[in-house]
Amino acid sequence: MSLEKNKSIVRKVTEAENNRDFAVFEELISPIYVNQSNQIQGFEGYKQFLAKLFTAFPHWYETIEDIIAEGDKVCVRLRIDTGAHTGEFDLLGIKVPPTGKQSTVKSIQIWRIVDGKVVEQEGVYAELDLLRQMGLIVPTGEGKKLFPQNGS
Amino acid sequence: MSLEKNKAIIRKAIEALNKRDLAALDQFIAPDYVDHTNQIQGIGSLKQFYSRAFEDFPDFQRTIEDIAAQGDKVWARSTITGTALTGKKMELTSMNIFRIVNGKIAETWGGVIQKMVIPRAAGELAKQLL
Repeated sequence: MSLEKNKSIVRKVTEAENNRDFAVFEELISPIYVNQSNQIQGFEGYKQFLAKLFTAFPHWYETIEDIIAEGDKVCVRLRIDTGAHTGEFDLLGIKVPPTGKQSTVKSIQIWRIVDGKVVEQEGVYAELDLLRQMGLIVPTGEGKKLFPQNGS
Repeated sequence: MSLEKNKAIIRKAIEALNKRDLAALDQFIAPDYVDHTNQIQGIGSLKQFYSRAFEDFPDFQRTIEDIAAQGDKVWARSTITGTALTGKKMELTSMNIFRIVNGKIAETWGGVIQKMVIPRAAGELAKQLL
């Protein structure tokens, strides 16, 4: 499987997420898909995760800022514009009521593609930024002194 | 610059950190190094950052779990472990991008997620909100 082909799969999946085009996922997400940090397993798990995410953030939008590929891996740096948080957010089982706030966070991910389908995705989101921008966490006095650039 | 060579630069830089050999970092990190995410500029600031980290977490260790390279960039997922002076153990997953220029790390992006803090923090918040 060529590197360019794998990168185009990742671009297509990202575009499908932005367009809420679940039919594309049938084609490109493997039945054995796993995302350990988000506790997602399988194709059905993937769709359910996104359905919950888009309920909380109906305008969630991802932009690929950087992309490389090697072997069966594709790595991306994303910018995520969450749009207004208007629905209940299921954060790994904790239900967070809508805050109405929006935020922009970055994510860095490594995906694995096998036989034209995504089998694995691992990533880091700037979750503390997200929670802070949503007004759900605030720095302590010590935190404000150490990281004044983060604001309060 | 070969992909294997670029990956080796990342591995050697992390090895130097694990051995507390900050002087060795000069071999792998550019003098005008920039960390875009954590807003660290210059290798001097980076060394200060890690000196502080080693004081706060004397058994700080970083292990590469997954690595990929193309062109002048390397992506790496690593696990960072350490015990705070309070005795609390931390385990973080870090996902980083490194850009190599003339055989040294010139730019990085990325940060960490602390595995258990988010659900715990959200749990506390949920209790207050609901």
